[in-house]
Amino acid sequence: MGIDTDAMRARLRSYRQSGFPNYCMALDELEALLSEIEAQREDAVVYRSVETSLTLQVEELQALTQRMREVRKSAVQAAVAEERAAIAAWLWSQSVATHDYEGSGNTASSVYVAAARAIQDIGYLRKEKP
Amino acid sequence: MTDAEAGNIGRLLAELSAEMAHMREAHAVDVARAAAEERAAVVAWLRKEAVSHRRDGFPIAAYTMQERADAIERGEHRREEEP
Repeated sequence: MGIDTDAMRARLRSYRQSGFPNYCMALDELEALLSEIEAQREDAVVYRSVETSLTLQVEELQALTQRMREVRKSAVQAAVAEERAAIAAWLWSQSVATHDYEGSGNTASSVYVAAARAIQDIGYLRKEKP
Repeated sequence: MTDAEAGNIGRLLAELSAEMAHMREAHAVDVARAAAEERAAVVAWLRKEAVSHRRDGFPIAAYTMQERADAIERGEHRREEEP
């Protein structure tokens, strides 16, 4: 009995259609799995173990998909937080510069401070989103 | 292992490799899009605040806030990080 590559391809297609997300550490693991499969290809006499291994790897892919989704979520959240922090820091620097130039009690400076603080506060910003 | 079976495995490996490349590209796009959306949300929020300040009788504050929103939209908050 041979490897059911059609079924494996169908499964891969379903991963792709579902977005088959993401990567990072999971990708490294996937690469290691592929290397393992390729190494087994060299040892052609143990076809049965290759077949078992391939089947297991595809099943493992399914589990990796879930992990990749989590990794993707973390990466996106980190990118959003980093962008928000960069904007807040910049607004804050503008605030300080304006304050130094125009003296205390400056309205625009106060506005920047408020904006920077608000942007750092996720809840405040999210309330403004639909 | 027959040649046909070896060929099937080879095709499957090629498909997995292509899938990995696809994932890498999609990941980069996801992260870039998320940051851009966040920036757009902040800019929209600042502009909305500027409108409020103008309406409340603080035109200078409104003007400067609008100016900062425009600057952030242009990415100036990132340019200062560049060496």
